[in-house]
Amino acid sequence: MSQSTSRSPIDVESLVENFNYRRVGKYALVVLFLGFFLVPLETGIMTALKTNSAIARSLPFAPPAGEGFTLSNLEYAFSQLTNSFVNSLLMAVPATLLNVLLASMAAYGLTMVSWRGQIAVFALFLVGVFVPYQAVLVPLSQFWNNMFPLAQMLEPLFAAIPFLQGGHSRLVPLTITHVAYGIPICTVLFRSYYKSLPNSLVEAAKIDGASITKIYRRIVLPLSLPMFGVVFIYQFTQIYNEFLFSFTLITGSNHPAAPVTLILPAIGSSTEGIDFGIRMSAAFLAALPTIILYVAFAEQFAKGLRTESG
Amino acid sequence: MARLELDDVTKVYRGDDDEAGVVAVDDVSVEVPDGDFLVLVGPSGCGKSTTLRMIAGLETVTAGEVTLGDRTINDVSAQERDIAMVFQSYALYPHKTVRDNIAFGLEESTDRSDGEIASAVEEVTELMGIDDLLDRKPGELSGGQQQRVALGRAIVRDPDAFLMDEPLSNLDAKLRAEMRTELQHLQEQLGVTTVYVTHDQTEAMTMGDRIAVLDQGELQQVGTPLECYHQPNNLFVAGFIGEPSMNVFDGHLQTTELVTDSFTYSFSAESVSDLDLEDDSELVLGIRPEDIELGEHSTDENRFEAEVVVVEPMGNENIVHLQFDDTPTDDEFIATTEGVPSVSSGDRVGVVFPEAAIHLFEADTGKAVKNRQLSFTGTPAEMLQ
Repeated sequence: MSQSTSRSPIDVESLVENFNYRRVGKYALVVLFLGFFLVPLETGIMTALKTNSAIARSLPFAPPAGEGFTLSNLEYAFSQLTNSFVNSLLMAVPATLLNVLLASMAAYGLTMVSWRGQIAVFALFLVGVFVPYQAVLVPLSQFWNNMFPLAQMLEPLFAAIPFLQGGHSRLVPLTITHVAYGIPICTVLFRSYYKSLPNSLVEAAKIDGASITKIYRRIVLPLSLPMFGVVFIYQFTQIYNEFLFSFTLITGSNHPAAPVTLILPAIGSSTEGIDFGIRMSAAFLAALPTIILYVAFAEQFAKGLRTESG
Repeated sequence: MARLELDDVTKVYRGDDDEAGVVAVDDVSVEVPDGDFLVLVGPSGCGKSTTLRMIAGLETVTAGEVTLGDRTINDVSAQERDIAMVFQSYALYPHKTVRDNIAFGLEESTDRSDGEIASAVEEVTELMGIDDLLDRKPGELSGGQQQRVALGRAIVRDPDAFLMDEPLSNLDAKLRAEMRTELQHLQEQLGVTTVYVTHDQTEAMTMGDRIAVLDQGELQQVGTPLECYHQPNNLFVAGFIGEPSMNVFDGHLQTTELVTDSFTYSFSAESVSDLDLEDDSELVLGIRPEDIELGEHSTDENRFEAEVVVVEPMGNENIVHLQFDDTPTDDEFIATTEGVPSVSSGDRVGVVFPEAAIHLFEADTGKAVKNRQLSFTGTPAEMLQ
């Protein structure tokens, strides 16, 4: 008994011992890096909310005070970006959905169904991952403008749709291009996930009498929902942020179909100089869809994982 | 329900650069009559699972024929075979409820209406005692419950044959013993032809109408459990079936005596002449642990001295590890005795190998040349049916 009473002060001591310099140093480093990464973001938001004179007079990361606070930057940037937001989403959402769906099917076929030569086909997919975009820009514009002018063909159709102009038909070849170039990497991502799924599930479904397509639809597809979340976030961000293909196929910021990435560089700069408030506002608005997506899908993702583990 | 027949079935895995390939299953022929329970048993890697997967249609058959009912099913896809399988991992669909898991096979393989499927599912879950779990997902079930769902999924299909791939190996010992009996009852009740794969010889002995012992892809023996136990075809079956395993001693025959490193065993003259063996042939003597008599002060000429190394009391029996004095290696042999242990470690005891219980095998081929005489009245075959 005397032992146990004498043990309690030792416990306190060992607890105190945990607060050593090493630990303090570790936390200090964490705080330092947190600041390092968050200060630019904070500075951006603060700048977006300040008047031009307040930007000139105050520290970049200080919050706007009194007279210096304004929402006009955000309002202006939003009015400039509205159309391009619509364009970007019109292109990125269908492109990502198609991309993820096709990639998941391809990965299923390459991983869980066995047939001759699938390794060779998968090798082609792998090569596809490493194709540099710069190398395909010229052939791409040749293809969509001269060989197969899909945008021109669809122009009358788009002109007939309310709120859209004929020029918006250029989003169609852009979408297809994104789907084509996004499939390889998404297939690789899905394939690694499908490899980790127990093969016995597919075998059980086979013995239960399900055909290859039914196995995909009723077993593999529902089981890969968490992976759909991950790949969707990744690929949407890729397509939404992409500049080169948009620039090649849509050509300029004046075009009615120009997505956000084409408009953004031009906002807030004029012959009088750069308006930092407007620039920062535009940058934040442009980043908003991806941020919303991350937040929305994070929950979906966690839910998917929960159902899987039961 | 149907008869299942394997006829010279062979499976060779060929690598890309490997011309000969690896033979996983070599020329296996077994017949499972309609409604019979066959257990495929053997050590890891003996090809038993591959054999089962060939029956299921999950592996192609390299050579030979698999016949179910009246049709050869070599080229029939797994989907079309009308076979149900229980996997070692159960392979329940994790995103589906118990109800949907069991209904899936009926939805995919039959044209039955939703109402018919629902009532079939309910019937089976009642039979399996899982009707209160219908809306749970597999992740919310215990191992034993998952096992029942997996069985229910197979039963509801009312297939021509059940295939079971070590279905009990993920359960704890007590549950496994329970499920073993329950599975047997179920199979008898349903009367579906069943092939059951296991590496556990207790399961093999207790469950099957007949067992097929496989080793290195080759069929060693097919017979009733007692046939395999008492009259093994060869040394492998003798060693594999029975727990603890049969004791074996290498030796060679000198007229009517078998000379081993540790002892010389004298046979009665007539039994050796019955065997028709050449003098000086290399033989292996085998005797089951329970046949060894310990500490008997008999005047039997085949009574040897041995030292008790360890005694393992199991409650109902004692496993006694023994060693002969002049053994060149540290080889031990095992005897089992009933009741309270009468010997302890370090004791010197007399051991008697009754001649009726002796098995003899050819040393080079392992083939059995003499099996124990069964003290049954009537022919052994009749008794073993």
